[in-house]
Amino acid sequence: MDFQFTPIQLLTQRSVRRFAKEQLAVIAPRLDREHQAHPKEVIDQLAAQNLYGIQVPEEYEGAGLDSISYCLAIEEISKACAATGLMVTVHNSVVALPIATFGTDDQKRRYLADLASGRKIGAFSITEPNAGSDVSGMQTVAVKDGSDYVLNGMKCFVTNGAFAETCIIGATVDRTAGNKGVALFLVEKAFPGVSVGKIERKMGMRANPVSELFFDNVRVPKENVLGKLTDGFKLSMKILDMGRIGIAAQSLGIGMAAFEAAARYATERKQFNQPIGEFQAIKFKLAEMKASLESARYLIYKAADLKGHGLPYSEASAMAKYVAAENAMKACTDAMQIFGGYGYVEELPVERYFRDCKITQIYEGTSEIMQIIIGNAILKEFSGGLI
Amino acid sequence: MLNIAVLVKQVPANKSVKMNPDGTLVREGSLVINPDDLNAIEAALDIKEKYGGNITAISMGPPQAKDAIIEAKAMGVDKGVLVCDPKLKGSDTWVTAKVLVASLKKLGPFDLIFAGVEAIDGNTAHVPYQVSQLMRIPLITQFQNLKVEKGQMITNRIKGHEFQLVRAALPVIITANKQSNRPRYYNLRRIKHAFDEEVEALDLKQLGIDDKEVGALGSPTQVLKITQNVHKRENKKIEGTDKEIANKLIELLTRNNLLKT
Repeated sequence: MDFQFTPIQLLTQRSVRRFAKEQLAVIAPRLDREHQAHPKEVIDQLAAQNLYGIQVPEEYEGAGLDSISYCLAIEEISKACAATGLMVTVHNSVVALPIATFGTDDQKRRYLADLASGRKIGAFSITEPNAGSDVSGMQTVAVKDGSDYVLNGMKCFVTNGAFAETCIIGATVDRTAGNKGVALFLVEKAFPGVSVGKIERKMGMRANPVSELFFDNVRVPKENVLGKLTDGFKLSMKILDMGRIGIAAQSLGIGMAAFEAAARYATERKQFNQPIGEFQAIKFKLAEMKASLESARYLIYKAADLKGHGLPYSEASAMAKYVAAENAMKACTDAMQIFGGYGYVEELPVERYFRDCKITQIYEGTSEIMQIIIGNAILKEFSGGLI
Repeated sequence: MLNIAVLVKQVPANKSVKMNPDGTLVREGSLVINPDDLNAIEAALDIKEKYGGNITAISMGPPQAKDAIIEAKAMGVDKGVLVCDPKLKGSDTWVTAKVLVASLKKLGPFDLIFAGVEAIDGNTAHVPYQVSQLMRIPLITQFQNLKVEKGQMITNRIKGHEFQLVRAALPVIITANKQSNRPRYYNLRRIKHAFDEEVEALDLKQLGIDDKEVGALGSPTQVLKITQNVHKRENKKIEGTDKEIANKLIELLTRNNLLKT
């Protein structure tokens, strides 16, 4: 076992950290306050660094880096601007990487290079008003017509929804078959009949234009089915396993931002004639924040490492996402407590960390769904008799 | 195809640079490419993108300065060379320039040589001028809109509030600083490949330089002592009516030669 980063991983971390600190941290408060989607300049800067295709093979204009490098990049971006982290991680791990992993050569040729280079932004959605944690409630239908599928229905809470051009969309091809009747389609925003609905006003992640997407008799060529037609649900679960590593790294980034702000503040802020960090009540909070975030960090790297070695990582990914989201949220809560009133006002970033972090316990599978995945894996492992 | 060189120095990352009692740098903690050198690399990359060419980053320094070369490659330079020799320890700027010139001659000829105006550790800003002097080539500062045409470099130099249209026959050495451009961030694919090839190393023997010409003994200048430059700040509260405050302020500023009457 080797706990050391490789030189490539270290340079990736340092490089993205510098960019995030110099460019993203500066604009994050304004984008948040104004519910403002990312300016083109930021999108271009991310593209120039190849941050839209971190793990995509180089032949499709990706950087071809490993999963750990990916986690380091997402952590650094999210630490400075969680909403940018969201755009990047969703684009990478639930759109570009799935096409690279499950797509046909033709699909890769048509979509992957555009995504990896950042010429086009991606979105993934299976979520509908009545199909959240339970995918089988999906109402969007796809009906075969000649060499096309005709999509009708809508998706909600689509991350990157308003500006994504290449979307992976779940739709039911056979309502009687439940989860086995779900297929995934590569849908271009430019296909006639696709439209953007309401852009949500949110508690956090405000720079991401999360939206509804409507599909009105959208003709999708059969060549745009991702994977086997009836494997949509299974594939979605695999895609979300990938996605959760990224979201976990995002939680960690937000938690680390809160922790570092609190640690600095605890050494500066004086009450009762001493820095508040000298009080055990605060010192213990800082210690717990650091230890709990560090534990999340290694669960994330463990999941990423398993993925990198081609080993099963579904349970590890769920554990990483669960622990990272929960511990980061706790760290944000503690950071606000350490900052007191100053943590609650908009002038300092602590309340933004708090608001941004909350959703990481909810999206890409709630913490409760993570517990179900972990629990099911435990039961599977331990069923079949006593030894 | 232009043959371009960039001179790069590795410096401590934090702004408070520490010196040893003998006046040499304390090389510890996190080390990075000197900030102005990032602008020099950016200028070189810009020229390469406009006219085509090959960029070699050259650094003189201890073995760990290899990391600065690797970062230059991550930023986009094609090749990196580290001039490294234990005998170089304690060399001043003149010796550094001589060694860099020897390297430029060995690796060149180069059409354009870029360098940062100064390094944040020593702040002498000597080396680019010395290289220009030793090579007998023009040195261009404060460039803007750098162009290369028919074996010449043309630029609109910023001279105070004026622009000075300058033309110089290649080869030239050009200095850059943070006003020159905005250095790009490293591209992840380049980061991945920055480690592919070993950084080429050159020692004094390969450069044909005698040991006695370098190091502290070969250096014409010596730093005798480093002392802290303490900035004293005095706070004064001026009270009274607005008019009284204004008068007292004018009086105070005039008395301290801060206001000319």
